[in-house]
Amino acid sequence: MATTLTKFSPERRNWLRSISGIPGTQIVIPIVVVLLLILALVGPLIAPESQVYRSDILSALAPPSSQHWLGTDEQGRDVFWRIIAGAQASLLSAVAIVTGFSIVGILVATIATLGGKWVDEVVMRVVDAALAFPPIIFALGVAAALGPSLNSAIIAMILTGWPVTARVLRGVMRETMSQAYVENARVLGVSRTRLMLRHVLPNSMDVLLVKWAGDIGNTILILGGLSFVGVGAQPPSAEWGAMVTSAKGIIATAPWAAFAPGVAIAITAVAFGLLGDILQVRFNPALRKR
Amino acid sequence: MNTTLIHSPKQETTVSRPDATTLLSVRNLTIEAGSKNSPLRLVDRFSLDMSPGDRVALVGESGSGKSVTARSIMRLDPDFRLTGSIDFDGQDLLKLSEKQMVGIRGHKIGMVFQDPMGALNPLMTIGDQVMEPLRVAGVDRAEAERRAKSVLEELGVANAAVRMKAYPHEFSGGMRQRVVLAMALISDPSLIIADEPTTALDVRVQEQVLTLMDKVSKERGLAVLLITHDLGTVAGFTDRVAVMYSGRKVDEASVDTLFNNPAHPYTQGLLQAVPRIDQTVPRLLTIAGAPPHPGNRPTGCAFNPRCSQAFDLCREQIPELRPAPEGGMVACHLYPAAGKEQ
Amino acid sequence: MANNPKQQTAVFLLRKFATSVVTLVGLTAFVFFMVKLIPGDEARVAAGENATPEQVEAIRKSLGFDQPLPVQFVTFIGRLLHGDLGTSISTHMSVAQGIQQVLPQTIELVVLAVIIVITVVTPLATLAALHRDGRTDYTIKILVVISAGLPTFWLALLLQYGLGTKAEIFPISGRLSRGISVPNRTGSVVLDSLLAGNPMAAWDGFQHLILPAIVLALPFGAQLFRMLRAELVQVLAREHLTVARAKGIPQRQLVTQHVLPNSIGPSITLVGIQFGAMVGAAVLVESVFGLVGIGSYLTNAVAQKDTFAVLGGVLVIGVLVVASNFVVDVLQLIRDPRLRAGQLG
Repeated sequence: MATTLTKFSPERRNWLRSISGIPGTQIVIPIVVVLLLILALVGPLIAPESQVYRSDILSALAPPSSQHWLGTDEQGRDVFWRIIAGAQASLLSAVAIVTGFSIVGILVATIATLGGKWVDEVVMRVVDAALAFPPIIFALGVAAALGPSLNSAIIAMILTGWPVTARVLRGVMRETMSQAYVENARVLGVSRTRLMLRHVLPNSMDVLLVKWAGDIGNTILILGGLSFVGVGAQPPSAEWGAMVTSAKGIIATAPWAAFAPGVAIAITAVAFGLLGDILQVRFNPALRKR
Repeated sequence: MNTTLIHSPKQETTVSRPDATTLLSVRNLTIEAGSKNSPLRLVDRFSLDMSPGDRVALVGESGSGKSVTARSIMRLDPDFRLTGSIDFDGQDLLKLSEKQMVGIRGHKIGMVFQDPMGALNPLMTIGDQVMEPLRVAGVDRAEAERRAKSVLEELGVANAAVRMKAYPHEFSGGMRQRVVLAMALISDPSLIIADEPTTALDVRVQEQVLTLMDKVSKERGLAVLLITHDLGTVAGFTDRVAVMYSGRKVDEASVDTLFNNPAHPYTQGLLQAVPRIDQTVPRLLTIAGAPPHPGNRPTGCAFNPRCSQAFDLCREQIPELRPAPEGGMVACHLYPAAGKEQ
Repeated sequence: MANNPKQQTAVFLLRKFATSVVTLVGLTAFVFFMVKLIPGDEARVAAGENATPEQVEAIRKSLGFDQPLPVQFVTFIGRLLHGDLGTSISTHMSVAQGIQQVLPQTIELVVLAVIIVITVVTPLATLAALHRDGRTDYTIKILVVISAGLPTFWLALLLQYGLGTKAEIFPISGRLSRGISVPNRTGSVVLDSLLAGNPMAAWDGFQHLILPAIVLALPFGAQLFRMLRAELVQVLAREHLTVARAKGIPQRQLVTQHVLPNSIGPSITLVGIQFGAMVGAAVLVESVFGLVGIGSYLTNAVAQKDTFAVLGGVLVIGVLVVASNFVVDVLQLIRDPRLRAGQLG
């Protein structure tokens, strides 16, 4: 009965769905994401060097105006242009981190899937253990070892990010392995490596992509947090977290200097998070009904 | 009998008349789903009368609107837009507030569902679930427990006091259906709506549950509206049958008339699909084709593409319900003069 | 093997317990070798800035750092079994004691955050699921998405500035206002104040916790909202709900008796995981709000390459994570009779 009735549930608004496959106003999200990615690539090129790095004490702490759209910071640098320039450090780093730990996650999941029962058990216990380890504290350790910099933050986050991906992927891979057609192929003597490359990995790609997009949002947030506790990007970097950090002392006199880069982080995090949701709905029709 | 029937083209009619003893009187119930701009008419001007103790079957294929109709009498689907009237016990259910409706559901009208496996809350004990309608009505626990035990025993649940502490997963399908029936009966309703109560059960258990429902409803003088796609279950159980096709009532007659002289070609087809003991060669016929989607009904009679006796008029005009030659009502162009013959 | 439900429950719990222990051993090994992999000389740190190379070597020997790594690990585990977490090589204090001083304050913060998460998310998710795809649902969803995307440290800064400095509604940092002090018994400021019969101090301590707890709660609340709403929507579509409605159960009762209990399974598991993750995330919040806790303890320990302090701190967090997962399993057993019968999982 329930199934009969869902057929008649009210249709949602869908003007643009026919073109993009993405329902209604949600089309805004991928557009924003693409714009952000373009910005991350060309940002440092279009932002004038003088506005981004050069101190100009005379125009310090200026509120937003037609000359400085988002005001200036304590050194008189233009907040707007610094955000543009910092997009690269913030966003491309996040993309690198997530891509990095996704690869580690794929490797670990593959080992667990192909290795048989015992290898799987051991690998999964290691994953559990790694999951119990707070990523920020690990990052602090790596930063302490390598010296605080954006690069050590990136390495630390790659080293702590993989367990969840590994766990999710292993679930998907095991499911694929137990599918009838894969079992058949196995009986027919198709090698495990070939099986992995031809069936299991391609089958995990959608899950991976969904997670990839969602993770970038989270990563940007944590990356900013690392800058904030002093182990990420260092001044005078225009990485957004570092911008907030350097502006925290002047929040009473020039709140815009801390406010604006935080908004930039939030917009990026929200956009990628929503992209993850949209991709999930696209790839998983069962979810569409929810 | 049919002296008060009114034959206005916009008004559907029913066999028995609304009078002082009417328990349930559905008039021109129209059910729409979907958005207001592109509504989907699931049921079109459905009417039905039931007196206290009446046993009526509502028969049709899946998608005919029979379940939707049954659920809408209880107003179970908030997304549906209901028009017309549903008079029950002197009040129009469609005019009641949701809060007043809560007082009707379970307490005045009980309902039994198709799938006993999914019908029970897996986290609550059988006893708590059977008692629940009484508890929300303010009956104290001891009294509710006593009545739950007695109704479960009435329905043949052995060792009821102990079984009430069990959880649904410890019950078989047939037993769960008894529990669902107990939940529907515990508040002493005057009407039970049974929505395909045996479809999900295996054949032997089907028989048991049906016999039990028959016995209990007779003993209690309950009116029963049985929703089913299977005319076979109807024969021994009900007095009257209404047949639905694509959201409309197309045929209504007493069980005898319907089985011996089915008026509507669709009813004739349904009957041929019922296995009969008196036929030496088991012959199961089904009507070719499938019922139309509510958003895509053919013009004219909705049944015309599947009807072997269809003629031009059937493809142009929707037939209204008229008295059938052998008694009852039928909506079919084959009986144009039926009204005059009476 | 085990046929009656009680035996099955016992077997289930034992198995979960065994897995927990294995996970903890794994965590210990993982952290131990990670800490050892961090470059830098811990003997040097322990000996102090002005130590001669001979002194450093002597200390290295006395701490056992001259032994091969596996031997060091076995020694560490051996002492761990006696409840000895070792001595901090930078503060020369017992690690167990050091942690005991700071942990209750973090737990206080995390518990308040968890309470905020549960009490705010449950009604919001219920409201959203009941009005699925409606305006209410849409509005709540947008709010949740945005609050999940706000950078914690930035939000903390703004709240400090807006509600603390400007509006002076909340104290902006520290654990107690100046001039208030309470004797330390449990380590939890609020509990200690109450034990000392000083409700004013308890209230003050509580106020100091509110902003940090809200900031800590936000991203986790968003996570829980998504899960709970999705689960609620699924349960709302189940047949037994229609049946319950058909037997005349009012909406309120329907939600509390039939919808929520059936939906919170995965959410309980999630909150269990979140509890551990929050202890980790508390590092950032503690840093912004100038609070003492396991986060600040670990931050210092890592910076000093204080092997035993890092190990001890991470292990304690690990135990908390594992313990909360275990509590979650027990809660699930209480909630679902089918689990007790060993039918699922």
